[in-house]
Amino acid sequence: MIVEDEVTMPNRELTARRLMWIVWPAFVVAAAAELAFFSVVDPLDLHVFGAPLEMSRQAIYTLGFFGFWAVGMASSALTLFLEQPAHDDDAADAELPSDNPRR
Amino acid sequence: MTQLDTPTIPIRPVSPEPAADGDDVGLYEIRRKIYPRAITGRFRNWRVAIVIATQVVYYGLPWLWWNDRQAVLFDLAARKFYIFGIVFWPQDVIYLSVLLILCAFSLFLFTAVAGRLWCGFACPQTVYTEIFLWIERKIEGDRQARMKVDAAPASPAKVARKSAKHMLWIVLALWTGYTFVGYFTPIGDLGERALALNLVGWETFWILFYAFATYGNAGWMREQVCKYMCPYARFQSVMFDKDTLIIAYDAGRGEPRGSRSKKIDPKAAGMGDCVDCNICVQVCPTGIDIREGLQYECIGCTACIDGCDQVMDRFGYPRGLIRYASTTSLAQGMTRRQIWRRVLRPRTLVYSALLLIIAAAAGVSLALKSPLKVDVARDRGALAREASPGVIENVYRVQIMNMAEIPRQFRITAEGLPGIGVVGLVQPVKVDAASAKLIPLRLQVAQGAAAPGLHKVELLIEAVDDPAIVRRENTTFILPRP
Repeated sequence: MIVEDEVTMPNRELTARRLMWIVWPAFVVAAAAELAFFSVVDPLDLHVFGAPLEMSRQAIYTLGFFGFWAVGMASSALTLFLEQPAHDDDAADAELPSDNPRR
Repeated sequence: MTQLDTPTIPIRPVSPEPAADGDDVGLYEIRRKIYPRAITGRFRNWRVAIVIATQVVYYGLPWLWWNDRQAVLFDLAARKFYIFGIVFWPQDVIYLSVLLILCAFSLFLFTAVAGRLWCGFACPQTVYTEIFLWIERKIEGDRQARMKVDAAPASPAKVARKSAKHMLWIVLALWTGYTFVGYFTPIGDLGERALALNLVGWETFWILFYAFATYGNAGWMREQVCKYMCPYARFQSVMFDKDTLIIAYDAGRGEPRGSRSKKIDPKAAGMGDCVDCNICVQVCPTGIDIREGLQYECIGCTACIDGCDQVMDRFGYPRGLIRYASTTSLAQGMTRRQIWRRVLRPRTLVYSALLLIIAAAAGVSLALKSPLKVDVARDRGALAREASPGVIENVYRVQIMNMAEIPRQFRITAEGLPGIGVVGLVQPVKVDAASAKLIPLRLQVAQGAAAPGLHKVELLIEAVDDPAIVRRENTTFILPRP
């Protein structure tokens, strides 16, 4: 449920937010990619490993959409991953010897 | 006139940080459920009218008929889009791009003139939230009643009300999903097969997917979609300028705010016109206080204007403490007329001109769109061969696309070399309505008709019933050395 109150755990919120950051932009991009790709390419012209796909056009459109979405999600997830600092400065500094100037 | 750069009220074009109240913990935002209070008023009437208009079009359009077929059908299976009298083929994808460009420029124009008109009135997120909220109100009551129900412990009555609400939401969402798929596959047929539980997998999937998105977005997510998911909400500020009409609280008139009796004269008591009733906050679907200035959460729905006007009426104060106003007009105290004159400024004029030019060009191009398209390609096999002694033959693959919705017959002739002729083809060629036909075409020329080498020739494809429908296609003819 999305109804929140004061006692909701922030971590769950953050996880939900991160999932949204991964899934949602990928969805928007997948919709655009689907439109652009299939307006110029006829699904029935596609060949996989040299053989034509034995599926209806609608099935290929649907699969194509999820393919684009998956690629977009992978990209978003990687962006989110790289966006985080490589190490937590405060935590790392706390482990340094007390005479280290970085502390 | 005073200078433009002195804002007298604290309007912030955009505030990326959430307001610092107790609910926000850094990055994490704990959402407080928003219970928008129902409101009546002139803007609300506009919003209801637009909700009804858009939904009549959305739910109704797939049921209209034209030329014995669905009037608007994006037939993905056949890769043909039917929009009333026009059939779009994949080759017409340019019109789709033009349409997207027109939408983008319209959005720029409307935003420059009056802020987030799209968000407040026409965006499906707003429209479906309005409809879902309306159902919610009918079943659970208005703001106070809903807050009470939610705070109360579980009881059979509460469960019954909540289930009824969700059932109605789900039914509406499923109908919305069904309508959506009905734009891509004939809707009547789709309905019959849905009732017989005989849908193809992808149809079932997209109906459920779209229904789920509608239910989730309009029932649960609501303002969060605008606040966290919509890119437009984040970049709208670049389309704003000082003359853009935004929903603004006139702080100069309202402050210092405070509750008071209707009888006192606020001026004498040293008070502004804001009675601090908080109606503007209670009606807000995104839960902001417009008195803090323009915020990126504001979707421009105008509910606060209606709410405040009612209170002003009750107190006998002039309306418009919260109103559509530009930053400049608030700073300079402009009259309505002056504000409207500022709507015509270089930015909006340029957007309008571009819109008109692109729309006119697209309109002309659509009107002149030929109902016949032809693709000619040389056969990939032999370049030229001797068909009989002294006669050279070249072979082509010709695709004739009859874009019209009537079957047509076409005659093919060739020009460009002495004695060139089409052979072995049953003329005229019949092509069904709105379909394409691929034919192998053989052209023959006598060996000595021209010097050996590559020659330009022209194919003429002409409709039998209408000589105005004609295409000339260039190709080449190869005469080998004898």
